[in-house]
Amino acid sequence: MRLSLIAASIVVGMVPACAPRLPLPMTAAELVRHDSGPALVVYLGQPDASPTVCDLRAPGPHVSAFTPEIRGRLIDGFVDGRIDTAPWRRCIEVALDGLPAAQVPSVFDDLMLAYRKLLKDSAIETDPARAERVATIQRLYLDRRPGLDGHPEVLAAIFDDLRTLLAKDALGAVARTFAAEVLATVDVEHGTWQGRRVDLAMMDALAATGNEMTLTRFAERLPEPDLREQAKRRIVRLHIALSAFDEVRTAAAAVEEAVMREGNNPVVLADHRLVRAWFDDSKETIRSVRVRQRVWQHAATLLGYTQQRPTLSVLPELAFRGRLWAELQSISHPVTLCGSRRALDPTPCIAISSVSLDNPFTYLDEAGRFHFRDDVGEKEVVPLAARDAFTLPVAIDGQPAASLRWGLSYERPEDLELRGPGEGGRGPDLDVRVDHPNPSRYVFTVHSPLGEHVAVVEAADLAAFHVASRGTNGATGWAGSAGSTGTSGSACSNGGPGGNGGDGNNGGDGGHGGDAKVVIVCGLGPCDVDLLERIIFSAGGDGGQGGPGGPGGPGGSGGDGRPASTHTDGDGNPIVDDPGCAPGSPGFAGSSGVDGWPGHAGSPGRVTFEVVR
Amino acid sequence: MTHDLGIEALATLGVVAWLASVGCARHHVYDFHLTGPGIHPAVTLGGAEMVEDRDVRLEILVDVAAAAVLLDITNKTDEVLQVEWAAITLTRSDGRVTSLRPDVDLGWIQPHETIAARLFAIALPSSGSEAAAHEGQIFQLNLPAVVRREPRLYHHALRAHVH
Repeated sequence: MRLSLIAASIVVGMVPACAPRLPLPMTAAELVRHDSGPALVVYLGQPDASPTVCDLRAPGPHVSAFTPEIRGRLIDGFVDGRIDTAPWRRCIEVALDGLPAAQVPSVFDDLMLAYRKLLKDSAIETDPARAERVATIQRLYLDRRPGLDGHPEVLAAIFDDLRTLLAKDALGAVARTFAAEVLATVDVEHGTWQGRRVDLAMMDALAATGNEMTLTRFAERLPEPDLREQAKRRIVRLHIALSAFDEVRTAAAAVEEAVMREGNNPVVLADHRLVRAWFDDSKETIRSVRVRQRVWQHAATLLGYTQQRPTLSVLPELAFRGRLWAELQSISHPVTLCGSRRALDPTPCIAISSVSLDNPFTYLDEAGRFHFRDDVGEKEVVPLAARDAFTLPVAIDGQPAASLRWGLSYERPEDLELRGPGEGGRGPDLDVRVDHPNPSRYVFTVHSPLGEHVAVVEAADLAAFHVASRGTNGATGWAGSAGSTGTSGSACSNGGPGGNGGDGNNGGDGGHGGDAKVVIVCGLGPCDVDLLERIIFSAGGDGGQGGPGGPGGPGGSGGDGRPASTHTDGDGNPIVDDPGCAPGSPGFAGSSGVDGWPGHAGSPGRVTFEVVR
Repeated sequence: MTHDLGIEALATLGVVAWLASVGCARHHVYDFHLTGPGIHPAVTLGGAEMVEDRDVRLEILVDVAAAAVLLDITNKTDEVLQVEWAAITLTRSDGRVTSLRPDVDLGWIQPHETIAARLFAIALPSSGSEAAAHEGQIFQLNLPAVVRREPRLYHHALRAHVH
């Protein structure tokens, strides 16, 4: 039994070594192709990864199911520190939103079991990262939507355990704080606070002192929906009382109703015209987009990097709240986009549905975040080559408002080298058009019988890139036949000579390069025609190697020798009956055949250049 | 003379060596001091340091043994002041952000009143190179508040000294 356990452990331990290697950076589309727990951990471990991939309802790429395997890997990946706090938390949150109700309790069971394990480990007292993970799981649990929870029997055991540990003073200062916080909120879920039944009088007393912390616990965790609503209403009133907007305080009752209904206070843009809008530069990260082309698949991937983090990763989600600001007619202060409905914020704001991005690579999710389609068609990225920057123009209520401007560059693509068919085939004829839509970029469009292929090349990469029609290499000549083996000699005879090997065949000729007609459209700027004429060419294929001559056959083996035989006559004299013989010599080996000649290299085709300025 | 050491004896030696290394690990003690202009030093040894502007006075003391930041906030204005108690954070030199929450739920600070808050929890390595590496590190306390109806974010840098 023990041995079998060890064997099983070894097998399990070997699994990662056999698992497919996961590429980095990994786009959301690539994650979907892998669709596994390990891939999700790798994806979310990247900077700027979008947790929306965990949302089973998302319009963009996402995992196909939140299986126990994926759930387990995701929690382990966080506990082990392979996924940062923010993307992990959002992944779990959006996953919970999209899960069938029957699967939700198991998620909370697993989360809280991991939480208890972390909390009981004394390392939490001295390891800031571990403490942060505990805090994250705790907030995830305490901030969950009403009605979502684990299985009562699982959670009750966990909370009883925590109460016992607290009573015995068996936790360190850090763990004790976390445990006390979670148990206090669990009490609210049973309708009590600090040993008293929660009622409106208690809420009014808390509101009078501005105690939003406790009211928020009530609004999110009390068991009765009516009391939760009353707690929310008092939070809204606190917010209104402290609002910087005179128009909010003067219309307190109407605003309170709007926030209770909508969760926030969106401005009616038809009544409050956009005056101007801007991005808060202090909150903007300077980003650049890098286009990775897959020229033979007619596809491309958009990746990103920042000055602070030059390693390529996926492009980030875009949330404009607090970053995009607008001045609206008759509104006393600048406003930004509306926040979460849970914030119960009466501050006038712009509804996310009023904002649009004029960029073909973005789409808006249900939570109001813009995402990039990172796996796109090649045709989509070619028009970008004309631009200096990757721009994200933002419109509010259909009016141009502000624009984000990111750097843009193209990774050097594979060479566009097109070859003829088979062996010794002629390279395809090419029609090549080179456009120079931007001083720092060239676009190569190549038409051939193989179809159209397009590549965008940065001017700095031009010398390392080429377009070519190349004949295929000639066939290798057949090897000559091997000579036959000589006949074996009979007794006392020599072996026969081996046969000569056959001559090798000549190699086939390499195919000729195809012709190419090249049109270089320089556009307005100067373009490097000399260099272009060197990197666009036709080339013949190499001649095939001659076949090697066949080896000569080995000579036949010599016949066996025979010993002499004698007898003694009547007088006692020896009489030789047979003098015997020596063994025969082996036959001579045949000579090897002559190697074939290599084929002739193909000739380059004719390449003509026309420069249009 | 030769000795045969069995597996159990080797295991015992290993445990002894581990215990010795743990026992020898130096235990570090931290203290924190506010940095930046306008800091008023502690009036008593080991007491809180103070910083203020025209609206708010903050007295700050990090109690490492209790894993807490002790914070006395005085509202010097004539309007209520709201601290976003659930959104207080501590940013470490490596960019790691720790949420700090008061041990009891708190509300508004009335004009010219002071509230004493114990903010939890700060986990700090107590020994070894990880603790020593904290010498001179800056911990930024981020305190969001609504002062005179305007959102304001107070940042105060605390420099760690590790002994």
